[in-house]
Amino acid sequence: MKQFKALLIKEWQTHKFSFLIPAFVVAGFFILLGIISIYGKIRYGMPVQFQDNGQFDPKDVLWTMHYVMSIVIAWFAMLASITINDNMLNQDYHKKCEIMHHSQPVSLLKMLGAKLTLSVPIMLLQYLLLAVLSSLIVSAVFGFLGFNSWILGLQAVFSPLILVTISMIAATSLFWLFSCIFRKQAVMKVWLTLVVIDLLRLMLSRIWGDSLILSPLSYYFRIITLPLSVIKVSSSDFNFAWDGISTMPNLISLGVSLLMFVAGYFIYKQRELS
Amino acid sequence: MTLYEKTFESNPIPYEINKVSKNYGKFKALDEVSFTLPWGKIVGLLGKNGAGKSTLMRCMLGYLKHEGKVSLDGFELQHRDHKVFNQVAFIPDVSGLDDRLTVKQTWNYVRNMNPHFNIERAERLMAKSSLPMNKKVAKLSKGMKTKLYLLLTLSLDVRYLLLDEPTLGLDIAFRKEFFNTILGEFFDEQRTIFISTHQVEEVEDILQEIIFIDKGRIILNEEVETLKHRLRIVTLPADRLSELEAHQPKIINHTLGFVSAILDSTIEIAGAIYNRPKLADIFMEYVGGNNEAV
Repeated sequence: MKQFKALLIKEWQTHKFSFLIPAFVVAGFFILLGIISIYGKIRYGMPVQFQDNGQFDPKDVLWTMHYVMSIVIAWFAMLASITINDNMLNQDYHKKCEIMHHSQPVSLLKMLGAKLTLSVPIMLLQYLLLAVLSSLIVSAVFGFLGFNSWILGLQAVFSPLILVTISMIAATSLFWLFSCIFRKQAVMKVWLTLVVIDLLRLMLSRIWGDSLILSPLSYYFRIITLPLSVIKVSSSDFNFAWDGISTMPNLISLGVSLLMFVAGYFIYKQRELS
Repeated sequence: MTLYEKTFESNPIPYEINKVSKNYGKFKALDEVSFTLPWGKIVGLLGKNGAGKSTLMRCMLGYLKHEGKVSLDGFELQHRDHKVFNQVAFIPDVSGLDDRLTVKQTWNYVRNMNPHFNIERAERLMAKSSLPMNKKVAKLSKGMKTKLYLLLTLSLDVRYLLLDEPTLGLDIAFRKEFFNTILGEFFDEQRTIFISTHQVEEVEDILQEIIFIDKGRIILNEEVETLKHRLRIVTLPADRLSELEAHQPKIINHTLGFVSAILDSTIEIAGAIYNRPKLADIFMEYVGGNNEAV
C-alpha cells in the first residue's frame, strides 16, 4: 500500500496539469461568465428578468442545462484521461527517467495499476466534484434570479453518472492500449487507425455490398455520446440509468475495455529499457 | 543485522551470468557472455564504445530480453523482473533522474518505493551534501544530479551496486569525490561493486577484478593483481625493435628513441627495462587499436 501510494503521488506530481484540464476549463468558463455578467450589469443593468411565456417549463430548461453541463464536463474529463494515459505511460521514456522508475522493487502490475487508478476512478471523482460544484454555482446564480434549482440541478448532474462511467472506461481503454503499444504519438495513431479501418470498411462495402466489418468510428462515437442517449427534457424523469449497465452493447463495451487494459499490460511488459 | 547480511548468510550464491547473448537485428551486441560477480569485490568492466558494456548491465537487470541465463541468489531472473532490485542498485550512464520532481519529492519517492531504503543513512548523506531540497531536479547541475542519484542509491541496503559510466562528463574533483563516497559508504566484504568506466585510471587502484569486453565477447576476466604480475612493460632502445616484434605484441609504442610493449612476465630480454603496466596498457594489448575509448 505504501508503494502504491508513493506511485500515485509521483503520478500526481508529474502529471497534475494534464489531470486538471477539466478543472481549468470549468474555472475558465465560470470566470468568463462572471466577467460577462459584471460587464452586463454595468452596461445594461443586469440581471435580466426572465419572462415565462408558457412555452417551456422553466424546471425542464434548468434540468436540461444542468444535465448537458454535466456531460460536457465528462467529455473534458475523458479528454484529460486520454491525455494523461499517454503521458503517464510514455513520458518517463521521453524524459529519460524510465530506468530510475523501473529500478525499484515494485511490480509492473502495481505501477500500471497506479496509473490506471489516476486516469479512470480518480478522474471520475474529479468529474463528479466539478459537476456538483458547477451545479451549485449555477443554482446559486439562478436562485439569485428567482429560480430554485438546487435539488433538481444535483439530480440532473447525477443522472448520467453510470453512462459517463461506462463511456469513460470504454474510451480510455482504447487509448491505454495504444499508449502501451506505441511510445510516440499514441493518441494520433488511435485516430489514424480508426480512420484507416473505416475507409477500408467503406471500400469493402462498395465491393461486396453490405460490409460485415463494424465501423470502429461509429462504435466510438456511440461510446462517447452514450451519456446523451438517456437525456430527458423533463425533470420528472430523473433516474440513475442503472439499466445502462445491463444492456448488451454496454456489457460488450465493458468486456472489450477490460481486454484492452489487460492486453495493454502484457504488451507494456514486453518493452525493453535502454 | 541488515537484510542483505541476512540474505548473505542464508544464501551465499553470487550473481551469475551464463552464456548471455543479445542481438539487435543482425548486430550481435553480446555473444555468449559468462562470468560470476563474486561477493565483496570491486569489479571493473572495460571496453571500447559499443563493445557491449551498457547492454550487458541492462541484461543483468532484466531491462533487455536476451538469450542465456542471469541468476541471482540461485534464481533465474526474467525479463522485467522487479525482484532483482531487492539485491541490486543501478546508476546509469546518463543522469536518469526525473526532472519534473523536486529533490525532496525524489527523496520521498525512493524512500516510500524501496523497502531497502535506509532512512538513517540517507539523512546523514543528505545532511552532508549541499543539495537544495526544494529545487526541481531539472534546475540542478549535472554534477548535483549525479550526486543526488548516488546518495539515493547509497541509501539502499543492497548487495550489488552496478555503475554504468556514472561520472561521464563530470569534472575531475567531482569524480574523485564520487569514488571516495562509494568506497566510504557502500563497500564492504559482503557487497560488490560492478563498474564500467572510460576513466579507468581513476578506478585502477580500487579495482580488484577486471573484465575486458570487446565486440560483445569477454576477452579477459582476472584478478587485477594477478594480471599485473603476469604481464609487464618491456622497453628497449628503438634499434632493438625486432627483439620486441619477435614476441608478437599487438601494440608497440615508440617514444624518444625507445620502443615498448606489454609482454608476458616470463619473457626475459637482456638489457630491457621492465615496468608495471597500467590497466589501460593491458587493455590495449588485448584489444588493439587506438585508445580513445579507454
